[in-house]
Amino acid sequence: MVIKSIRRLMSITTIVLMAIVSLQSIASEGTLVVFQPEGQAFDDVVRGLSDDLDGELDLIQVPANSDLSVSDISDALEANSPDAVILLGNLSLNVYKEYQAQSERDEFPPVIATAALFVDQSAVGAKNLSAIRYEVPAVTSLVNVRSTISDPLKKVGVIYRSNLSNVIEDYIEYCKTEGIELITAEVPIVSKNMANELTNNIEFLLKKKVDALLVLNDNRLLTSENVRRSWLPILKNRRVPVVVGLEPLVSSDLNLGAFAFVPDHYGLGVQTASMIWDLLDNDWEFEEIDIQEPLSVKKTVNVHILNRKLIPFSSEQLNSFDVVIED
Amino acid sequence: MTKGNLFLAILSLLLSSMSLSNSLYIFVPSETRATVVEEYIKTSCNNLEVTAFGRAKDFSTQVEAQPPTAVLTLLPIIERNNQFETVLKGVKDGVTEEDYVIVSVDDPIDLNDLAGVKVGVVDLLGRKPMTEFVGQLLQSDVRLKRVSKIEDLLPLLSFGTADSLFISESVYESIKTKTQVNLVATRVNIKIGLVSAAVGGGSGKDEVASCIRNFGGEINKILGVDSWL
Repeated sequence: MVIKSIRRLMSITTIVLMAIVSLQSIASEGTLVVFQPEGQAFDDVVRGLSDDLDGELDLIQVPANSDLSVSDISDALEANSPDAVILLGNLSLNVYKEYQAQSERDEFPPVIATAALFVDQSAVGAKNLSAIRYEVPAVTSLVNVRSTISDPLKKVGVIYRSNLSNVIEDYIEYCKTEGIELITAEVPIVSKNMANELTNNIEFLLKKKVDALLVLNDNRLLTSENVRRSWLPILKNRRVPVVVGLEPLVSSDLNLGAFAFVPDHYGLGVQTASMIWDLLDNDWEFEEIDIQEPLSVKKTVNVHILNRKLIPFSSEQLNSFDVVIED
Repeated sequence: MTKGNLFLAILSLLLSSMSLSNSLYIFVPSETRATVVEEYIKTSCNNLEVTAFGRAKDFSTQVEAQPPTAVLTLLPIIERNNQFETVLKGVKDGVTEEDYVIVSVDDPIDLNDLAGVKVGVVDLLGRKPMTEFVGQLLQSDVRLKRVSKIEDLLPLLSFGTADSLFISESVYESIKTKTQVNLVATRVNIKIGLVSAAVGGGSGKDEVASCIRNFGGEINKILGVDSWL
């Protein structure tokens, strides 16, 4: 009697479990694991991703902070058997590469890395990985600047360290399609006196009569000493719009950048979702390993600096900026 | 009545009067930021609670969570939503619809061979409904590449993430003023309704309609219309 009841209970449990499993498979067409560091920017990426997935795929968020280890990654993948993995930030990417190097697996699920700096370089050695770059392409920023200012924008100067020459080559090609000539000045990767290198090269670009100057997000070029000793003294009174990739560099107090273009983190999430849908449509395999440019940016303009430098602009066009600094 | 009770009574009166006022949600894809659109329309509709959204997802989520008295958005969104009745249609050059085109770089798209072509659009409805909507219009199984903002369309095309764009003629004209990329538009003989106003089941129809009819030229221009019918 007792055994019969236990058997009945077991079969009911089995049916219920099967029903749950089958309901889950109806509810979700796949499982994703996202390694997510703390911070508003990463939260926004995941919000964009999650909004676009709209519950159609299971999204499992795994914290990826400074204590992230290879075994954390291994455990998360074992426990969830994801159809694809999303890596946010450079730390996630670096630890994931270590995990791949140490793993005995022959195959890895497809991985998408985003919100990681200079991903072309950081992703070298990773297997089955595609990515979205974090740096806003020069052409995106400059097309927006051209639509806003009334002066012509045909020649734009940019200083870069030699390790970024590949990125700059892409920038030159994209700018060419928009009729913008990128005048480049290369500085060494390391220099005992980077401030002097910068001063000489900024002067060189100004002598070339560039219509604007693009400042790359390279922390070696933008140390407080370099900003104080090179960028600011030369550029603060020159009638040349300076285009930056960091919002603090566009403040009126600093008086450097007139325009800032930064990645739209929500947009990065939506773009990641788009790559996920392509994977889903292709049985969770990349059609091609791809490093995409980010499509969506947040735009800031400092009207106070434009006015002070007597750079004419279209007031109507200001309505397309996310932030307009007026004083 | 104690001071505390009096405060609560006033607060409750205030809250109830707030919840009774009519609300208008706006989602119109435009290069003008939603905050700017909201400010413009608030000046014209100061008797309505006006909220503008920059993304379709935020709009649809809020419509579901807290349905407004009325919405101001593109006709396909109103038709899909099915909770609102259209009361005013935006008019441009005498008509309430706009031509759509397929835009590509250098060479026109072969309309007889659209299957599998990556087509970029601004997302209005979410992945599945938008794929279905565009698929029906183009009568082809295209691969949709959705973006949240109009300004993301040009990068989508110039970086090769999409082969073409499916956009209104006015958006095409606007993109052309910003780029030197050789864009080519292919006419597809598809018209889609312009921005329209629609109300839910409750009252407020007259109030909303009167406010919208009084929109100035600048607001109408941002919304892509020149008058209301």
